[in-house]
Amino acid sequence: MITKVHDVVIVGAGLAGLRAAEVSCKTVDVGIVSKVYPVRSHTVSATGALHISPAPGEDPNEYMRETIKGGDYLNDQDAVEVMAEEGFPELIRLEDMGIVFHRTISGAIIRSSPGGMTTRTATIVSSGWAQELVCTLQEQLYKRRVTFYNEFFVTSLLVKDGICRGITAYDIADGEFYVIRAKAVIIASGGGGRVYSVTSNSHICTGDGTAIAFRAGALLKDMEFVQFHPTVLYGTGILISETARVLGGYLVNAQGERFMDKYAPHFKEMAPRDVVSQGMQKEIDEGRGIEGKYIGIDLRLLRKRFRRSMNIPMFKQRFDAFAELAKNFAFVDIDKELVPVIPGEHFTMGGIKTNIWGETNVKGLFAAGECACTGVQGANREGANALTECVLFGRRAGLKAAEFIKKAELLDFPLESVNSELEKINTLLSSKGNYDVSKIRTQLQDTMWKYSSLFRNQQGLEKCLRIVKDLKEKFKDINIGDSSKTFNTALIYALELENLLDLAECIVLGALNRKEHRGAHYREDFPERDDENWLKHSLFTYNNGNTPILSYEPVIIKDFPPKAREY
Amino acid sequence: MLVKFKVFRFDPSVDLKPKYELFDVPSEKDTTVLDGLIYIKENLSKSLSFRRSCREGVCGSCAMRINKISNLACKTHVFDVMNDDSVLIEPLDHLQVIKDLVVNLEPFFDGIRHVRPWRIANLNEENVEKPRKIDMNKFLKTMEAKSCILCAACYSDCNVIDVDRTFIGPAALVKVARFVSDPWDSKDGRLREAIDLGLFKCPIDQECEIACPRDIDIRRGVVEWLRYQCTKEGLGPLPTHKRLVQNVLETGGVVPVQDTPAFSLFPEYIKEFEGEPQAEVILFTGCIINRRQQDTCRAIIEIFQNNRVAVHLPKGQTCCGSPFMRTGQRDTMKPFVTQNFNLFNEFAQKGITHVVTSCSGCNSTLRFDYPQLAKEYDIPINFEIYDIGEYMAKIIDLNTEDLKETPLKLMYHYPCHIKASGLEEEIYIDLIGKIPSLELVDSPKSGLCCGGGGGVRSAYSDLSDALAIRRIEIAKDFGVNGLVTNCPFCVISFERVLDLKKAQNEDMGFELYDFYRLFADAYK
Ligand SMILES: Cc1cc2nc3c(=O)[nH]c(=O)nc-3n(C[C@H](O)[C@H](O)[C@H](O)COP(=O)(O)OP(=O)(O)OC[C@H]3O[C@@H](n4cnc5c(N)ncnc54)[C@H](O)[C@@H]3O)c2cc1C
Ligand code: SF4
Ligand code: SF4
Ligand code: FES
Repeated sequence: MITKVHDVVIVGAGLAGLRAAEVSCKTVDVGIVSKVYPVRSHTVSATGALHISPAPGEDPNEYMRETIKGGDYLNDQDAVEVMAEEGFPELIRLEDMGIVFHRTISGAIIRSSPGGMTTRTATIVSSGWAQELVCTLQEQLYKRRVTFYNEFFVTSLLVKDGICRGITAYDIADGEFYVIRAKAVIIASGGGGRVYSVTSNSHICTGDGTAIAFRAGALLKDMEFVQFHPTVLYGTGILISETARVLGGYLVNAQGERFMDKYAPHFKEMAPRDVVSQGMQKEIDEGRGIEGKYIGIDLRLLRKRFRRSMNIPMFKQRFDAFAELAKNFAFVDIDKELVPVIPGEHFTMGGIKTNIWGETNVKGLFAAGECACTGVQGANREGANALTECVLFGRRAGLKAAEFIKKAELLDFPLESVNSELEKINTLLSSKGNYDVSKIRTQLQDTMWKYSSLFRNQQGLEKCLRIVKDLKEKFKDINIGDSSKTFNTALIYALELENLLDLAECIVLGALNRKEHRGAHYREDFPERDDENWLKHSLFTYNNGNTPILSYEPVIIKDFPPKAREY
Repeated sequence: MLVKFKVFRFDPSVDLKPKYELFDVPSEKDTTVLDGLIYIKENLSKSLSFRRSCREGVCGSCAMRINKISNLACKTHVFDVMNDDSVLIEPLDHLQVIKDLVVNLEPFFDGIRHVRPWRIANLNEENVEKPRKIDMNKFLKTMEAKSCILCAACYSDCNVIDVDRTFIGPAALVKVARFVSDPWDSKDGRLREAIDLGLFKCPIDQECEIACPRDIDIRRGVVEWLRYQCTKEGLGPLPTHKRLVQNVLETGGVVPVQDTPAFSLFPEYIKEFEGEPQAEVILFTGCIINRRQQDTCRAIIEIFQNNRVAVHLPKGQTCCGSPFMRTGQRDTMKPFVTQNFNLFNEFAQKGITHVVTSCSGCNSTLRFDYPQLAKEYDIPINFEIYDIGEYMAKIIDLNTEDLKETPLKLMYHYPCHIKASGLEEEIYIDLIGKIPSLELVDSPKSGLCCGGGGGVRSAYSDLSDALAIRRIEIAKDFGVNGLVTNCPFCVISFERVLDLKKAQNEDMGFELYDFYRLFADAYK
């Protein structure tokens, strides 16, 4: 066992983690731990659109109103205010670091409006991929000599007496076990899309940090709210970005009918993601899917329509990005054929409960990015708001943690917890049980997709919960099939599965109890929003592996009271 | 169908040496190599280790060698790469194996860190109260370089790294270009540093480009572009490269004259056959063939005569200037472009519009660099440029009847400049295959650098020799008598090391065949 010490330890080197590190490392000593190299984090596959609030002097209200309406009024409005106020200065900071944002020919920033919005707020990173954001931030850290723990898997938080004292981590390359002590820990470990069989998320999105924090006593919030993006490729789940619809691509069913008219007469394809996805799924469920299975997105006229814009390199690059994905992974030529798409898991709205400074209920523990739930996304995230959440709240968590450690002491860590983590790993390495990790994972993903995705009901969710619990039992009797200490990915997959199971249980539990339709959570048996009973957040408390304890707290509402939601 | 995955396995903590394991993987049209590996891990060997994350070709995790060429496993479809229903999967090269397909990437990332990948100075001083206006056109190069995903595929396939680990490698140079081109960064010391890290060691064979999943224009857009920036900043080219230009200006060619130049040996118009020619060409020989490989020039003329092609050999042609383009001396090109293209235009007025080149370096220069330069200098282009092999294969009716038996077992060496001209290897393999009883062994697809390009031979001759020897050794492993190639630079590089070895009493037992001489001899 090796022990290391830092002022602040950050778990996760995606956009949120890197942003937190960049700001905190200017004043305190930072270690950043990631199970993959930073540039392999999930953020790199994001389309690279981020909402940038109005420049000084412009009106932020429209953006806030639309984000909150998009989130079906479950958004905590203090958090939405942060997004509306801090975006522009952040854009300038990011630009100074070396990120380039799209410009028009005259040199002005290009903005567009994502689904469900009419305000033009989304700004695109020039290379058309969020890869540029991650790469540039990593380089900023190179400049500042932060300690990187690349390919270290964090297994637990060291919490005693309600105070976080560090983490335990496993060095994937050589199997060495680490205790990394710190006065503050920031979790920025991303979403958990791999709970579902159909997802646009990377293989590594297994919600580890959320589950780890949960087991260490952090409250989770709104876990039942999971976003399903309308257009992931049928078969692989690879995302066809919203840009396709922003530019005018539209959805058709087997009859060639542009069915979104029915579900969102005004916004049609450009309604928020929950509305479009639910519409698509209805079409498929009612037998109007193409080959009974998928919906077509028609992009055939776009290249012609934007003939002139194709001369602008950034435009062409963005356009070609999804043309290339469709060609590589679905073998279709977007200029000639419909692209086969279905709705697929895309974003975890819920997560570790934090305030607008990333603080959790555990002292010394912070969270930011997709793993956190500041309440900013509500019941349905609007396009381009995730990356903004990562940079703004990542930065805030970094600042707050750096401030926190000034008054904090380095405390002793609970050796018992370290020992039990070590034992867990050794048990897994020598496991000889009856069940296979990949089989349990597949069964979990299929079950979640079947009963706990776009449309949910009491019966299905009850069944789902039973199966998840059963899989949790089976997990205790697994055989990972590799006892090597050198780059043992079988072990990592097992540790990830443990986390997926915990998250799944919370999702199902929250969904089972929430008897209404709000945003992405759609109960067929309760198809209306119910503000009287359900305008509140779900909170999940860890219960020693038993069914989590569910409680509720009010939504922070400021200037935008709930209204009917029509698109 | 079942595809055989032959997978490299090695766990240094238990295995003495690496081994290859065979797995049957059910595959369909849309199965990627990564899908196959996941299938193996879930069903056949739980201990198989590989990296993966995004599975859509943007995170760079899954770079590995697939049939000897580095690529992303998640972007490669099994059906596109399999040979006889099997696929060979190995870890990236030049990096130490941690386990199976996982390599230690630290040296690669160290290279990136080493070039200070951040703005040294932020030269943007506008106020930030309003969104800044910027001219995107000024950021185009920066943006291209920014699309690098740091997958290390190029590092794995780089020829120079294979023989010289002090070379920083293509991805780090891409990073340098990203900052040197950034209008908001100061270039402060970056170019000087790049030269020290081996900017001029790259023989521009562009194998890295074949590997690069982001299709970054590494050779022209990065290496040559950086070299040009060096010249503009007064830091380059290297002294030997400057001397090359001097040679041409003083003597009319890059290399000194050995024996009587071809231009003096042959008339300006050659038609030795009876009757109407099937075609009439202008032969652009390039300096090497004119001044040092007169036999090759003779062979070319013979090939054309055997094919009833009339040849013009205008003495007014001059050096193509390729070595200057390759070493960043773009600004010296005007006299060469003007003289050569004006000459061709004069012929075009007489109705003779086919220019053929015998040197692959000349070909790629005339075809890709000249048109851009000509545009800048306002010179029209009223003719077409062909490589001779291409001309033989595609334009004329090739006389194959008179080809005599030539019992040799050879391997074709595909020159990087031919590749740069967009000409496929198959053209030449088919051509050589027309010679009766000549057996042509398939060449591997990587490790093909002769070391002679990009000004490397003149500046780093040891490196150049090491590359040439390596290429010969790769070929020897296939049990062939020799290499056959159609680039005078390759010929010189290989002949030079073969002679060197002989002089050191270490005869490599290997021959180098000039494509033109081989072909002309077959007509005798
Ligand atoms: C295909 C796609 C496109 C998208 N496009 C957009 C878009 O255009 N605009 C937008 O706003 N949003 C978009 N999103 C959403 C957005 O990309 C994510 O919400 C965001 O990238 C999350 O960033 P993060 O920093 O929170 O986490 P991630 O980028 O997922 O990073 C998580 C980090 O945590 C580390 N980690 C996790 N577990 C462990 C562990 N156990 N031990 C150690 N380290 C660990 C990982 O290694 C990684 O470094 C998109 C999402 C998808 C799936
Ligand atoms: S052109 Fe060849 S030597 Fe140069 S960087 Fe690419 S692979 Fe390496
Ligand atoms: S230049 Fe291309 S091959 Fe090299 S690291 Fe970048 S993306 Fe990969
Ligand atoms: S898994 Fe990300 S590039 Fe292949």
